[in-house]
Amino acid sequence: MKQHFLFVLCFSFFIILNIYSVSATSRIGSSVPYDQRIVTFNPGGEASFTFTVGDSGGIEAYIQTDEELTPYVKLIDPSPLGGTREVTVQIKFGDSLSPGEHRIIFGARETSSGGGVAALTGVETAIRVISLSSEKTIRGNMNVQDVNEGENASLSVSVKSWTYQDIQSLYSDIDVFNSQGDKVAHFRTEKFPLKSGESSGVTTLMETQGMKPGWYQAVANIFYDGSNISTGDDFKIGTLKVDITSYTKELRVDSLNKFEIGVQSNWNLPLKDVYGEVEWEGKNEKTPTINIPRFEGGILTTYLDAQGVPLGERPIKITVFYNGDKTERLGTVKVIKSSEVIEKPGEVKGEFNYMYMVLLILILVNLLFIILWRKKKEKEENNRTK
Amino acid sequence: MDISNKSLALFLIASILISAGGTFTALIKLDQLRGARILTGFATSAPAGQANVTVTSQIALTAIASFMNFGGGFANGSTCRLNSTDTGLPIGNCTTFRDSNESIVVRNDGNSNLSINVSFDKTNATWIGGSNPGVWFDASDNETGSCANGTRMYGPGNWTGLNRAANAGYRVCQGSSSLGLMSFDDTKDAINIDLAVLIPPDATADGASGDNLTITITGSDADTNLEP
Repeated sequence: MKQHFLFVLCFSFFIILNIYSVSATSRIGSSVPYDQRIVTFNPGGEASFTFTVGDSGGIEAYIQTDEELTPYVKLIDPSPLGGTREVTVQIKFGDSLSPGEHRIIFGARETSSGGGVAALTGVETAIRVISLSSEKTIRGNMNVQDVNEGENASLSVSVKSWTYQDIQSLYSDIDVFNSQGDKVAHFRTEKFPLKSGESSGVTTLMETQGMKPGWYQAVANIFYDGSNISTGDDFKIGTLKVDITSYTKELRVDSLNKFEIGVQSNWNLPLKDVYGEVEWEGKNEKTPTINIPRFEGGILTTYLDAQGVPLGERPIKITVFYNGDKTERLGTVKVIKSSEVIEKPGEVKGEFNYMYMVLLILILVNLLFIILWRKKKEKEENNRTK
Repeated sequence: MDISNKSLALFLIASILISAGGTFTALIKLDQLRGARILTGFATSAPAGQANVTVTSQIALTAIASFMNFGGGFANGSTCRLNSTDTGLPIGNCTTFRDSNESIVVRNDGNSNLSINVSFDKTNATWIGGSNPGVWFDASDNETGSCANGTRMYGPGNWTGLNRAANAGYRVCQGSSSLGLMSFDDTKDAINIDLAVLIPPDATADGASGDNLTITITGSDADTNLEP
């Protein structure tokens, strides 16, 4: 019981904090956009980047780097946790840095949430540091866009040289796996050379005819002058189908009830004019149309009249129409007494007024205390002077 | 207390005089700023103008609704279920607690599309405690298309349990590495974060931490917050 009382006490405390805490904007401004913020390593070299941080006080600036870069990077913040200010990231390279791309993450974040169940925001950007190697080194990346069933998928492999040497011959073996891990396709790209510090890429088209809709993974093994690396990407094959993922399960008797249908598109293109039809208690109710972005969900809304409907589970049929096709779902909804519905917090306006009343009383008590305390102090001083 | 028409007229005249006097004083003061070396909106001359515009990269994220208020209470004999949105767990078995009905809403106020990472400073066990506690979160569009290319968005009906360590991030509205960024377009630049909570009857209050939960939402224009 004591524990329960403490729990009540702790959560009750949130209300006061929730009313009076205000969130700030985490902001970073820079005259150099991220894609141009690149430094090439040279022993003993220096560089610096200045950012504008914060809209208000309480925003902390920070940097994160890999272990190797840490000794070379310094954050110069004239007023930590101050208001809007200019913060500089200073780089002074040492003698060596391992080949590849290193990053210095620069961020700004709120430092205090005020308690309760609360959100803090932060923003981050980065400075890229490039270091080339004397050994033959490359980095590779694979990108596969989502497609619809029957369309061709583009399997793109891009490579970048991180070496002072030229690569004479480079090619990729690409394997495609389904969500069960079975290999469903294999390709080998043409061979091509890659010059020092340069980037290149190759794209292979894959027919998806006969492949089931769902998630796939493409893995590329990139071979170059006796060495190899691997990279991969996930992609989805869409199908023209909208799933009914959820619907309102309980309706109040003798009331007009809001009825929501959750839908999820499995199509790799936006779907326009999607609507639903609900058959319930001999009546047909339609929802307004909505548009659903590719592979996203949506909510269809209509209203059902439960006037005179018996209590308990009642059968319902939901049909969703889209792009000349439809999905049907048979189920039940529970008709309940109005009193069984738990009151929504949005309707409990009195609670906030009550809180203000409590706060007002607390302030008055405080004022009374101060007045009494001052009177007591004056009395003591008068006694002393007498 | 009744006020006579005469008194009302006097009040009206006094208000007009005060207002006119204030305007007059403000105009005189504004004229005095002609030679002042401070930034004002007062034009002192009208030469042919030349404007230099530097468009800077701005990354900005604001929690326009940053709190959830579940009130106070305890599980009523059985497991108490709470929601910050009506698409989550069916509610019930709670004494005094209430559904928050308040999503956390985060808006992209900059001029770059951002990848978004959400992390929680506690786990199910450390925030709620007791036997088999549950906490799920759900990220969804507040404005249609805010995460236009997200193919694996944690959306409605796709509640995700806090099954990672405290402060480990979950990347929301995210497909493959280059897709699913949160838009900065003012008509579609906000997402909701919601919670569903399952409080077992033997959950106890944490007097030390006050049962706080801090949800950190980080936006990046540099893909700095990849899924673990």
